[in-house]
Amino acid sequence: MYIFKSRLLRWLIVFCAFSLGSAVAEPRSKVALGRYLFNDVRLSKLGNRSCALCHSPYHGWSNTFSKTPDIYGKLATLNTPSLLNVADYSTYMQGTTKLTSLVETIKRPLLSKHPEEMGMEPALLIARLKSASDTYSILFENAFGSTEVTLDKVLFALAEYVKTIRSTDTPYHQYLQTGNTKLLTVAQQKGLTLFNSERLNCRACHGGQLLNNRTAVNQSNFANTGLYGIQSGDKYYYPAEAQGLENETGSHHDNGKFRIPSLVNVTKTGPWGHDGSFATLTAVIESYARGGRLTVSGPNKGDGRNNAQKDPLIKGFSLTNAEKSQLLSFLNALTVPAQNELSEHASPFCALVKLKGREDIANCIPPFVYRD
Amino acid sequence: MKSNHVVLASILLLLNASVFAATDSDSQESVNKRRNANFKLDYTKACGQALQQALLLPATKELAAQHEINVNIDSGYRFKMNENGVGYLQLAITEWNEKLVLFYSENMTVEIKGADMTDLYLSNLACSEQKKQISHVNTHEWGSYVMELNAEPNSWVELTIVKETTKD
Repeated sequence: MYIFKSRLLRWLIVFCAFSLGSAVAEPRSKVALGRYLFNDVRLSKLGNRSCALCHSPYHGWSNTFSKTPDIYGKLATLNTPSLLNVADYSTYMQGTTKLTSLVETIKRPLLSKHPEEMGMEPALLIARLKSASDTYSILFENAFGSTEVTLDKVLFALAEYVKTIRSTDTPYHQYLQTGNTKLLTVAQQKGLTLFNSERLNCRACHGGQLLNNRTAVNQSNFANTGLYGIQSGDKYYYPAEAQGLENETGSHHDNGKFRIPSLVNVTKTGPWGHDGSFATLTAVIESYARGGRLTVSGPNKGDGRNNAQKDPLIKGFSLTNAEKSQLLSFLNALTVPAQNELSEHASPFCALVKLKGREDIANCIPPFVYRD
Repeated sequence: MKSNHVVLASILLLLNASVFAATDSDSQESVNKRRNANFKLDYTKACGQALQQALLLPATKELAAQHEINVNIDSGYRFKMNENGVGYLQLAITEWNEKLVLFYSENMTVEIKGADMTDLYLSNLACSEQKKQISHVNTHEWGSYVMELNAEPNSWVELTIVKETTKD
């Protein structure tokens, strides 16, 4: 009995030491592997997408599309959300409450067939990474103690890397930490006052450190903000291709409910809205001020103000042009410094297409070129 | 004596100006010919592109987002400008280093923020009777781009967007 206990204790000590060691030493090597994978177009079936192309550090970890195109250039239905600070999220997709694991979430763009965002298949992915052993063997060895490539390892390393995309280094957050109002301009201070005011009450939905949580407890962080009011009979709908939580629950009560986005770095992630249908933040503010957006033509014609599923907090408010400008100034105070993002997260691969003002890192690796 | 010098200098200046003007015109004409020869297939395709008339030209960028045009499919439009003479179209550019040929009414100007307009106001010799002009666009990076159209209020305008298939 004593021997058994002693062995058990020893095993536990070794196990704990190993686990602790993994927790401390390995993440950095997994992050290193994840950074390569994140930037590698090998991860898409046709070699024309990487995670970083759609979640670009040059565009606030999003891109400039209204709606994301699949690998064939066909437009999907939703805007690409920013990856900034997703490590602190509790749900990872805009239109579902069910994805609460980052690893599971990464499978969606990588492996999904509808739409084929990257169109990858596990066997093809593993074969491609194995054939790039010059680059990847050492990275897998360092990260997992073996050169063996598996889908689970790829997903895990990507998740570890994505968790490093973090920053709240904004004038507003600095002001919160220090209480020094001089960190904000006068216009930004006035905008902050408006943001928190009872009249606008932006904070009720954009609260917390990342400005993406309701301040009222036990309330869902998904909301219908009255962007659409397409009338059918006596009901009002969002466009059929993107109906928010209704697609998950089947309940009309959930029509048009999408996750409340973080406002950290919001000025860098346009176009805005779950479907990228706002070209400017001014238009976003005007929609809230009106109590819902009016679409006067096209297939989505209708008044979002009439949408019965609209969040009760979207009531509309009056706002002068000067106040609108102050509110926009405050949103600018939520911007993180771009330079840090770009230097810390530079791609190890040379760009497929060179762009003015963008430099590859020294000794960049030639990118994978897909051949049919 | 002084006034003679002034007259002589003025004549020389006028002569120079006309020489430069002729050179500019020659150069525009030769660019036009070169482009027409080089992009003959694309320009001919632009001439024959069917024009949709159902789309009301969006008056705001937000409305333009509701009618996003995927340039992977060549398209053409005939619009009536609104009373302000301004409208917007949003283009989805899903390829990097995309190059487009715009073929549009002579009474209209086109701007695309973030894109390079590489050759402006060329004639399309494949169908010069259409009284429209050609401009080339290079968008470099993929993404959604907003095109602003300006013309006389309430005037009718036409616009065709085709991909450059000819490689320089």
